[in-house]
Amino acid sequence: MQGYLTRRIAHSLVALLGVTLVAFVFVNASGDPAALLLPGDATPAQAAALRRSLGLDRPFLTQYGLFVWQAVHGNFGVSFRQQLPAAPLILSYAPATAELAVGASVVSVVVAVPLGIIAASYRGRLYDWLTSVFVLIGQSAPIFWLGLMAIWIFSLELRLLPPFGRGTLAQLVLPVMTLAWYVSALLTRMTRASMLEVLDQDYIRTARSKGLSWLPVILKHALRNAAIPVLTVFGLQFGELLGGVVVTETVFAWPGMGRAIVDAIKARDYPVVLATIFVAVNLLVDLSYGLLDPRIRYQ
Amino acid sequence: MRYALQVVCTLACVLVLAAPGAVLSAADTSVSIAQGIDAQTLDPQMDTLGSSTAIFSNLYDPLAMIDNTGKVVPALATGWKFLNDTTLELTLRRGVTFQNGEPFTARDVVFTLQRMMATDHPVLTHPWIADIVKSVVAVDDYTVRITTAAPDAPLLRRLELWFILPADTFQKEGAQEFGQHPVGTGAYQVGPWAKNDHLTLNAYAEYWRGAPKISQVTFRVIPEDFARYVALKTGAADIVVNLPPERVAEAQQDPNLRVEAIHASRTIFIGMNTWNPPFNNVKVRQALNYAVDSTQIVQTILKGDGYPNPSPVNQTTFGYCPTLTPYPHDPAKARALLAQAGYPHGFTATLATTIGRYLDDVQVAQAVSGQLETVGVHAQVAQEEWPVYWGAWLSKKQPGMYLLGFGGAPLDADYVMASHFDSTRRGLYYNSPTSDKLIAEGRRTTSDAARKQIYCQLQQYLQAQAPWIYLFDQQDIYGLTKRVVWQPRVDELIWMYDAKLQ
Amino acid sequence: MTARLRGLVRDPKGVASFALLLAIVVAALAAPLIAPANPLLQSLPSSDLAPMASGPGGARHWLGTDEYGRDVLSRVIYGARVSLLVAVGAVFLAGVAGVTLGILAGFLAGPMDAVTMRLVDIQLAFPTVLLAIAWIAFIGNNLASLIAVVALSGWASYVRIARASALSLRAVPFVEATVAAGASRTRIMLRHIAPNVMGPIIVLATLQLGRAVLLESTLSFLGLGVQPPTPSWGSMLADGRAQLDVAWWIAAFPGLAITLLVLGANLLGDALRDALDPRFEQRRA
Repeated sequence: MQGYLTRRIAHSLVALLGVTLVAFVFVNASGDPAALLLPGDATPAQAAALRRSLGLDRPFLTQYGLFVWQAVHGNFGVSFRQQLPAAPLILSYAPATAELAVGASVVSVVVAVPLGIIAASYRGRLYDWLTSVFVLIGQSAPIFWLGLMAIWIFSLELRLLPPFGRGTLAQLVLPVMTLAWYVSALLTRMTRASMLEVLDQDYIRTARSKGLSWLPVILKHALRNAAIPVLTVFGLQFGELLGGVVVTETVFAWPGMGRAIVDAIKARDYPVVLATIFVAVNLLVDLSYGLLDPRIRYQ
Repeated sequence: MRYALQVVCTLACVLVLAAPGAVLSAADTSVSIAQGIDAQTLDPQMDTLGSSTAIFSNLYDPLAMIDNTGKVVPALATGWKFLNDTTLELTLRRGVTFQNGEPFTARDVVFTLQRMMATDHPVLTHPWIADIVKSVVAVDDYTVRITTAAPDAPLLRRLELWFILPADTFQKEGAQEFGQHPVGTGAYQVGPWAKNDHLTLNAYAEYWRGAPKISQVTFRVIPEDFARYVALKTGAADIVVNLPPERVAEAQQDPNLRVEAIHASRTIFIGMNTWNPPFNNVKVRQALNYAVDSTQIVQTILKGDGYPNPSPVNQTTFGYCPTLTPYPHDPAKARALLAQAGYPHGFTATLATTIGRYLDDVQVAQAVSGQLETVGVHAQVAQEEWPVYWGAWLSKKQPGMYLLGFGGAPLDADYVMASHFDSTRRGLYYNSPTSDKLIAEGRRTTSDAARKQIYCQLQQYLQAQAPWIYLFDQQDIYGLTKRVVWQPRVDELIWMYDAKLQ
Repeated sequence: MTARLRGLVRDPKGVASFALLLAIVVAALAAPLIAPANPLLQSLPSSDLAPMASGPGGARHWLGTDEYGRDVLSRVIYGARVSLLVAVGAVFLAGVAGVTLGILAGFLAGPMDAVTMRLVDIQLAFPTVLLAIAWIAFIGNNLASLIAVVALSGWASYVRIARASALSLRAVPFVEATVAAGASRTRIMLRHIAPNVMGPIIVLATLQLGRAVLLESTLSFLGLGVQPPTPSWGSMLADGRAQLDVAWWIAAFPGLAITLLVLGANLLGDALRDALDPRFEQRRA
């Protein structure tokens, strides 16, 4: 057990170092943050002076080494644009993203599990077919397209819901629903598939043929066994969910981490980009390892 | 189970339907303004975005402002006089307090300017100030003397963007804290700031001009054009910046909306790297000006919402020469000039453009490319993201033609000259001894009338030398709901003091 | 495997999706022949025409025109080229690289395996969209760059599958015997391991095709994909998004096209997986 734990931590560290190195290479590859921060009438000399004061003229390895050293001590530098420490800054956007991700996850579980169960139970019939349509659209349609359609229909034409901003429950509805469609499509398929497998089992058939009512049988036996692979796959798809979050936040002007990092990349705000990657990767590595464990053990 | 589900659904529906009311019907004396990007910090010297400056004009006051006719009007300074060529003495307004009670005195002006000029902790705005201003001194509590390194005629106009900071408060809190909780003398003080979502400003009752009529101003961040438009239509935003031209007709027909357009201080042009052939030949540059028809571009691409301008100086700016004659659209003459220059079959070059940074920039570049094609010049449009474009431009690495916009405060001809043609400042892609001489003369001559003459000479010279393909001035279009009465400004500041509700 | 593929033909899902994909590919290849107009031709008097309307010249625009008067139907047809090119190119690149690395890692084990799996961890840990945004923003905005970044975001899955296959095959007596007989390792990997990996890899590749199309359109939507005036479905969506209420067709049809292509790929992948799954065979028998 101890060996396993050390291995896991070692893996996490390696992944982290690798990701930050890659990110560091990227951010140093193009664009000059100093020129972007200064106004439109600044001179090349002024840009060079600002670069010096930000420490950007030092050799690549020195910069990277410094970054790693400081990161280990929890210091991710100061955002070039906002003059605030990068890590707390990016974490301040986390609640908004969490709201979206958790909201979408909850909605998709609430929607997908019953849907998957019903579809499996009535396999081949109308319910199943309708569920398939729902799933296919959710998986195939681009999230931003669904979001834009939602804004058009619900915000402009029907005037039911606000299309941007955060603060009220109403503002949460459209972004969460858009993001949830994709996630619940996935979950529905998974639930249905594993439900089908479970329903095929002999002991279920026996219980039903004995005349036991349908619902308690499902809930007691089928659900429990179906849950594990579902959760596993959900964990694996978390990286994709994050991508969906970025797009959703952009379309709905949701002030979360996804939008913040896209803005930071476009503005070459390196401290913020690196801090976000560090946080996001940590989260992802832990999650995917945590959920991948059973699979690794199978191997 | 089903019953429970129904109850939950009904509850949810009720909540959802009721809530928009809460969002969309703001308090009666509150106004929302939708922009595309949030302020990075509320420290006015550390954020160079135009949208942020618009916000700062409500939090802070400068010493003087420029009104829509180009006249310099008093703000925190009530009067000024030049003691000599290089010394400006300003009399400051008495009885002004910062929003936290700290009284405004000359010390604050000195502190602000010295922070801008400091070389050890460089601020981002006004990178030129250390070259222009030599020193600033408080003569007494309400008198300040600014000494410049050389005679600087545009100095008064430069004052508009020097937002005055409270010396004591700033030094006590430190820059980082101040940037989150700013204190100024402006009509509005800072309220809650939900980053990337909205910033609320509340009226400052003791404002020296008198309390503003609108008690609360909220700046909302809505990056999507479509969402901003929806915000306007539904009343969630009262003022929308940069209304797309295709929405103008519709907004004008909507009884709840109004469209305000103003001649912007920004000019769009095609610059050329005059150190590289073939652009080092003045005949080639002139030929390109004959080949391009900026009036047609304004008509077809911008649907008429623009002002063809034969000069590099914006038409709202002091020093614009109204007697300039534009290059007529003459493809035959263009071809003749090209032949004389040794390019009878034209040539190939790149035309770099930004993507979406200026309204219809890509479309304008393509239209120009199409017009140049008719005289044999094959201009390959290269679309570049702003960081890439600007990085190359500032390093003098844009190889051929480039589409760019320029303008804003100080609304003075010297500004564009210094930034694009002056070898002692930033004449990166063109400069010449003749234009340098005229520019220097315009900068140090104090009489307005004499300056205008010099700049006319300069503009005629630059027109003949054609370092740019002259295109047009932009038009700024704002969408407003009928409940707000507000006039846009040439300097693009969204100053809400003047605004009131119907 | 061919026997199992025959089972595919009997699956309506498989046939339908294959036909759909084939139709899209054919349309893309035959674009110059079937597109009613030049996708790049601007005609301002015809701008923002509704579907089925005719322009001043009398030409009927089945799917309407965009704000520059360009025929939407033609742009959708030509847009298929970009989406398909990027998706197929990326999947091919990722597949070849991933399978190679996976087989090498699984078969050769040792340090090769360790390094490869660490790289896989890194790639999987990296948020896909962010990687793509950063790559394009920093490396540059052109077709090759786009294909590269979409490939980069997907190669790890191939490695996993190929490696698992190689690992299990390594222990099979037949292979062990061949190794003992002195056959070159390359030969073994090519002749014995690779063909057995193909089944699951093809399923994966088909599913990844859908992912690649979505990623490409997302990048185009964010302004980082194929640049105008080249029509790509994602950039058409981006162009049309500001006019949804007055000219919904500009964004709706490209969106529909993306959905159909991804749908086809997903369905085909599912059908292939069902056909190649031995358990499924059993159930039907």
